Amino acid sequence: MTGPPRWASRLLGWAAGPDARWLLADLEEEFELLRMERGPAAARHWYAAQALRSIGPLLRRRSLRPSSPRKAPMALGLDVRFALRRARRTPLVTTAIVVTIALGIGATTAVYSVVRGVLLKALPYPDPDRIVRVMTINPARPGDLPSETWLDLQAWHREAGSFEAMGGLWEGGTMRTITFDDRVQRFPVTAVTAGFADVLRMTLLAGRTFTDAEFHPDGPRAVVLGATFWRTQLGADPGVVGRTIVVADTVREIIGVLDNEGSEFPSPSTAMWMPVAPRPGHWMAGGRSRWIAVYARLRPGVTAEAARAELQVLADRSPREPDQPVRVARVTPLVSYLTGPVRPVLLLLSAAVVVALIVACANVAILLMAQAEARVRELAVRSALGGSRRRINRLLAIETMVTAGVGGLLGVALARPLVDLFLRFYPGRLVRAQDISIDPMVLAGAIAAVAIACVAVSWPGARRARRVNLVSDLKDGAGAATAGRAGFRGVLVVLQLAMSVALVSGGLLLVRSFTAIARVDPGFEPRDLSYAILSASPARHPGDRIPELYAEIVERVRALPGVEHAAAVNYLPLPTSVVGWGSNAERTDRPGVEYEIQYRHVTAEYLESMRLPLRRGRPLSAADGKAAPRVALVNETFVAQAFPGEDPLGRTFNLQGQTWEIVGVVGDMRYWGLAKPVMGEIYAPLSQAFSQQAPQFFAGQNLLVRSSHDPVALDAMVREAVRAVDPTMAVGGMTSMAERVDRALAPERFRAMLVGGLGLLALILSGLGIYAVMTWTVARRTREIGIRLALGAPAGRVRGEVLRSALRLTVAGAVLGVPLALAGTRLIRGFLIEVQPDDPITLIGVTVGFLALALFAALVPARRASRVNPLAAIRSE
Amino acid sequence: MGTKGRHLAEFELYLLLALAHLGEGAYGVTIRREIERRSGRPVAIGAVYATLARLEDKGLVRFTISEPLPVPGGRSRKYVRLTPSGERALKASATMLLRMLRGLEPRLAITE
Repeated sequence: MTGPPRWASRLLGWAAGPDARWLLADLEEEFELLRMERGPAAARHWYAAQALRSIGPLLRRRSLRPSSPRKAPMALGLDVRFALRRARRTPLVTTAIVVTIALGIGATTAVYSVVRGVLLKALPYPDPDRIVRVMTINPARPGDLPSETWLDLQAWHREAGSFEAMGGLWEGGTMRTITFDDRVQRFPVTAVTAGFADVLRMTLLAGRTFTDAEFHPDGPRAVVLGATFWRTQLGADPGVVGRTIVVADTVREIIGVLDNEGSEFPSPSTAMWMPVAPRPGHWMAGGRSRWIAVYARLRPGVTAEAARAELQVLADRSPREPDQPVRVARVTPLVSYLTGPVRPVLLLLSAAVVVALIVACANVAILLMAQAEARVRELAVRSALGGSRRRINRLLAIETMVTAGVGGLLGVALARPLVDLFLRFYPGRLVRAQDISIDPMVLAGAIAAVAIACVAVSWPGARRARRVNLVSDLKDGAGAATAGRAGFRGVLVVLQLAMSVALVSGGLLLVRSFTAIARVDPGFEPRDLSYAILSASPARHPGDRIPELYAEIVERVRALPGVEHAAAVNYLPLPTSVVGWGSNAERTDRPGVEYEIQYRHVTAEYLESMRLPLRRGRPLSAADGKAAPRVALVNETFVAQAFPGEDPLGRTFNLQGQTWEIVGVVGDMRYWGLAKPVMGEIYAPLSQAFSQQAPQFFAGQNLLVRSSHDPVALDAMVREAVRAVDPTMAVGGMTSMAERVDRALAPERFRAMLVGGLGLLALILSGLGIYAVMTWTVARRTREIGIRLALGAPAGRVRGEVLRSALRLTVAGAVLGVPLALAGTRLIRGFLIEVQPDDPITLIGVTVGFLALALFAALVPARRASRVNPLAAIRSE
Repeated sequence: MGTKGRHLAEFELYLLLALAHLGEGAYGVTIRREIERRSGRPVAIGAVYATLARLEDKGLVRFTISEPLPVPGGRSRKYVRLTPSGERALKASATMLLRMLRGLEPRLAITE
């Protein structure tokens, strides 16, 4: 061993940094001299001593200045500044990338938050997955709202061992007039049966819930408040227990407050609960009246299926009339029951957003790769000037990070507004909307995913920079080695196109469904028609007063200036929630055969107010009063059902124990929905239909007003008129009927806008993708094109080649996309109206549309190709 | 960073003095040996390089890197020379030192 000690050299080499070369050379020089003077051992000894003594000063020097002066400390900041400067030079591309990333992160987070909050999150009750909705349905009429009878509820309560708690609530007519602190206002009140509190187990904030005493027909009148009502209306009064409050003319004592904040159920705005317990003999206690929605809590260890089986046995045994069909029992977990109806739409939303995102990401990938390509020469220059491989990689990584970072920040800001935007346009109220929250973990995950994706896409560009062949790259720019890139980019475009074709097809089908339903004639004239909900108090108008009351109100309103017609009716078409039970009518001459109909009580001018066409016979008039023979109008559907091929005028039918004569036939009206089937409807005069035994069914009516005034102006006038007749009557705000019809279109419109909008976005992005790829192809092959043009190829041929190339890509995209579309549209079959999922016109139209798009997108690059200056192209790049 | 009126550290001063002695052709080996010979104490090459770097920061010395020597296995050298600024700083420090020393030679018994 005659050289200097290796460890010492290594140590010094590391500690000396940039000076290592000369320092070690100096030491070696002296080492050689010493070796000759004093021998190897002494020389090595000296060398080691030098090394050890030098470490200190060298390291102290390094800690002050980590590496060579003009480089590292500013390097990071420099790189970031440089990245920003580069980005500013290509504003369009950079903006496109940043916006796409922002939307990607924001939209993904928004969609996931919505799905998580509405479908996945547990309900805010203890052990929420044990709570179930219990029902029996009539298999012949699956569209009915399921309700149970009082007798059934009692029987199940006694005998069903699968449940540890069971209770029911009355789902009909929840708004009631509440009087407290000198205020009179209507609030939603839920009437519940005994046992309901045990099902939900909400927390008591004050007092107690109902005991058995309150569920007695003659028991004390009590009410339990909801926390929201207590806080907002009573100022969270701590002494609220024991106070009285008037609920629909009955004085009730407040016995407790339940915490129902955040509880979607039974409705998010329930103000209070009151006990309901019908007296035996009352219609509500009978075996034919279905009005109770039953909820229960499964006993631990009991499955929903087992409970269902037990319930079916009980239902089979339950007493019923011979003509009533056997009902089928169902036990559904509460969360599925509440969110089941919205699940299809939310899944549609998620799928459409994901497809649109894939299209957008493919675009970003294409753009990033194009950017990396264009920079090869710049990177070659950097490398030639001494840029280390590590620096170049770092530069590229930083650039990508900056773009992803800015996009990420924007995306974070976008997430909540996107959710709010969705909620605003969602038709009606989205169930569990208040449970939607943006989870920071999801945001962080989305940002991380995007950052990784960006780096992954730019990585090939970075790898290219490492293998940079200085000479050829400086001359060439994007050289021949980029052929592999071409294949990949082509694949991306084809993928983009396929996804877009599927999405646009779905969107187009939904748009066609919307236009189909928008064209439907509702059967009446909603323009220039307004309505308001009136509610009289039966206690104030005893005996026969109610029909007279409404006749008087209608007359006064009719007399107002600008009002053409006015009428009152119990139910209006196109309800937002299911209200009104069907009734059964039978022909007098064929008893026993029942037809399910919708029963309407109306005042004289109903037909004129609604502009419902009269097909045969005569309209109702004021002469059809309570002393006159019972007459009614029926619609065409009822005639088709009950009197097919016969003249119904003059025939009679029985309804609710009375006999009516048909004096007119009116046109069909779309009551349940614009796309739903029409049911038979019977219109009877209010004065003849009124029953003193059950005045509460007639106390609330809708006031119809046909006038060219807008609803706001009418509101004041109508309130005035009503007040003149009965100052204590509750009058709802005047609403335009046209708005109501429009609201009925809202779900279809929402879906069409959502998927159609995303489809349009995908279309545009696909066009951009084709444009980008064509531009890049032309740029890459400029020299080749130049040579061909110089050799005499006609410019038209060159142009045509570019266009054909674009068409080829599109055809490939369509070939992939059409099967994808067929698979996808099958899933939205439930949303389609008057059009099939595999509608050939739509698919052909979409394909032709995309081909046209490809031609349009490739126009500019094609023209550029034909305009290449052959000399310039051959000479340089 | 200006050095007008800034103090030189002890070793910095020795280094500049060594450079003044050596004139042209001073590099790591010669500098280290010069200081070691004159001071009589061992000098670490690392200290030399570290201090040279500091002096360059202050603008008092300048480096020149030579071509590899025309011998087999020849190395290149990092030559050092004083800058005009360095000359001035050296003069100032030396003058100050001499002034402080004047009259103290007998007391301090300074001998060679």
